[in-house]
Amino acid sequence: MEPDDGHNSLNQDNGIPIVLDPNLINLRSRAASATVTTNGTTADSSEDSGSQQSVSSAPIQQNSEEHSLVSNPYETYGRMPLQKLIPLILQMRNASSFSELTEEDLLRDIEREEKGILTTGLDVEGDIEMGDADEESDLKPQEITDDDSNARLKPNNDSAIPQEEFNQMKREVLEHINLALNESSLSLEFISLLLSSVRPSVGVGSMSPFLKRSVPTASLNADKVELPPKNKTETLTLAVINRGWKLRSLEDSKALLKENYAKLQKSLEVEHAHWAMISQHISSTDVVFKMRDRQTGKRSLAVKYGYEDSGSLYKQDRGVAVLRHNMDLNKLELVPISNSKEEVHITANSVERFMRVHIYTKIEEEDDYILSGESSIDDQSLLQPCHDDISRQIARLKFFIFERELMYQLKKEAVSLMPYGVNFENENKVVLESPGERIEFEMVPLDDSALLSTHEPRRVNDKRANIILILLRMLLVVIHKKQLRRGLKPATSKHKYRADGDLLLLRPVLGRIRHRNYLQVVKRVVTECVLNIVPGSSIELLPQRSEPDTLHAREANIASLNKQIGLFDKILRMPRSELRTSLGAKGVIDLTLKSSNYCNAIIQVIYADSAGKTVFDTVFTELKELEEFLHFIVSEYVL
Amino acid sequence: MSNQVLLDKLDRTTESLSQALAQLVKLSSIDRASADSDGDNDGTTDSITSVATNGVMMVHAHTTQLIRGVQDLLVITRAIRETWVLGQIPKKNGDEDAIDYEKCERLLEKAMDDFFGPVAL
Repeated sequence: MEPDDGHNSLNQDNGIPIVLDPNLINLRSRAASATVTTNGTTADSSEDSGSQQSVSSAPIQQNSEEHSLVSNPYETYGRMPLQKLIPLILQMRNASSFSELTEEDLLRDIEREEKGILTTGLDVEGDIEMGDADEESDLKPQEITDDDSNARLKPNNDSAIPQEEFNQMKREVLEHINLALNESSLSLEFISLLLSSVRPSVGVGSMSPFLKRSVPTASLNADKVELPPKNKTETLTLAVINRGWKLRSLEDSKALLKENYAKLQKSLEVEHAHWAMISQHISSTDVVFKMRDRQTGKRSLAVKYGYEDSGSLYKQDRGVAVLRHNMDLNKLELVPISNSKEEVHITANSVERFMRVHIYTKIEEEDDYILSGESSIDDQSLLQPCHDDISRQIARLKFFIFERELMYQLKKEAVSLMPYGVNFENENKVVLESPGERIEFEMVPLDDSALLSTHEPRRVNDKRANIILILLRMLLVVIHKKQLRRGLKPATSKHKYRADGDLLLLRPVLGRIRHRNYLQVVKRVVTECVLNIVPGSSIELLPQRSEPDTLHAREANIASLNKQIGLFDKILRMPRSELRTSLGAKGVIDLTLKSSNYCNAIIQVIYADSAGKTVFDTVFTELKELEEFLHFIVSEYVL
Repeated sequence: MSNQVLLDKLDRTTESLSQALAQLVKLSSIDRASADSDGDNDGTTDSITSVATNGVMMVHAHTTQLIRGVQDLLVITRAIRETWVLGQIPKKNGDEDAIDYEKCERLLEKAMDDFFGPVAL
């Protein structure tokens, strides 16, 4: 068998070799004289480090019982008994004793070989051979673990030094690993062999196939060397040591327990205080849920103060606050968390704004506005920031988030109301202008100045300002309730829609104001065109017809929602007024002032003659046209 | 966590606590070594390492077990409290919820009249 070919095929066929020095086994199995003693084993394994592990393979062993296990240049030496081999190696190395032959020296030699500095080139042939073998076996571990590195190895030797060093180190590490593996498998084999005499199944189970074949089981025996029986002093000493250990471990245990007791006691106190505060401050009406505090990473409880569950669609702020236990102050803190992913907590100043309504009345002669009304702060307790009372904090947070949403929705609605005299003054101020009056909705920071202005003497329109503010808030609640009702209803109309028509805050208010003004204008027109011309004519306002409630729901919740929303129907309904102008014996003109979007004016004119027959039924959107039409009727039919 | 899970956990924890404590007491007994060495052949060969292992390792292990058990108990109480807080059901107070719709309507109307003024010619 060709040594080199066999070697190559070996590497190709079985990538993972049995990490056992075959030469060693060979020696052991063949040389009966070589009794395997501990000394022998260590010598062998030391020799291993020099020769590196070779690859053993079962097929080869089967074919050539007498031949060397591997195609290794070392095989000639491998056949030698150790007694001869070791001196030979020592001679080559110029070492005086085996103990001088260190792994480091060998590795250095290998390194030198690899760098091509063949310092040993002039030495005996065996040395050169050995160098080759070293290099070859040196590469093997890389083949085992990483084929690429082997392919790259040669070019890398010429390339940059770090790579070279890296490879070198990698090789060393692999060497060490393989060595350790070799050692441990050797000892495993030893133990297995030893064990196989007493417990064959266990011993054989952990034997390598090679050992099974080459060494008969139960061929190794061992004797237990009885330790000399202890004398009295020794026993006593041991007992004392025993007790000492015991004492020490108990001391350790005591310390451990003490330390943990203190820790647990502290955390228990904290926990106790925490829960006491929670039970004190959190009522069953608060929405509490578990949440991980993003800042501290702890599991904690959070309170939802936003109105999402009540039907709010406000997404700018989810209205969630984490209950955080402040260790230093030993109290519970409510920390609102922002919607965004970042840990930006809304600072107190940006949050604590509330809506304030100012009414300015126009002074006719000066063409200027004076402040005639200001809404008051309805809950004075909101003014004092309170860090101790969680429920009040929640109340504050609820208040502020509601105000923010109100402003948000107001601004949203105001965009569509621009043509009707609604303007933004800045991001915190919406202004509604109507003839003779200006109503400002402003988000005011809740601070001392806000408080101060409430102490000023009452003005004429203070009550109106309060009413409008409360009305807006209630209308927002109505919007929420409508949303809630939509959610409660069966899935027929579940599709998400948020028509602008749903957003009814300013619109009804503005609509009413405008409607009143329209009504006055219409009255003036009628007076001019009809009443002043047709003798005996009169105008009257017909009473509002209340439309019957058509909403009926079986479910109690929806029914009560319907009722509550229904309360506001009168306000939310488009303004509509019916005027009847009787022309004496000449018939009747019915005018209906209505609106299609709360703010515009649509005037329907129905003229019925004395016989009750409808002559005209037309709709105007321009007052000018109405005027002309009334003129036409009066001149053509009445006079 | 359901009640049964909590109860099971409590049982397990108390059991392991008592076991750990019993082991600790057993290990700390001085007689044990002599008793063992009398009854057991290996007792005579008790090396210092085995004594150290027994003493330090076992005692340490049981102590930590003891501590962990107590910690578990704390966790259980926490879980119970959490369940209590999260499981609260808002009280439905029928009397307060009842709304006098007619009164509300009247008030609303009055407020509207206050603000807008009566609709009249």
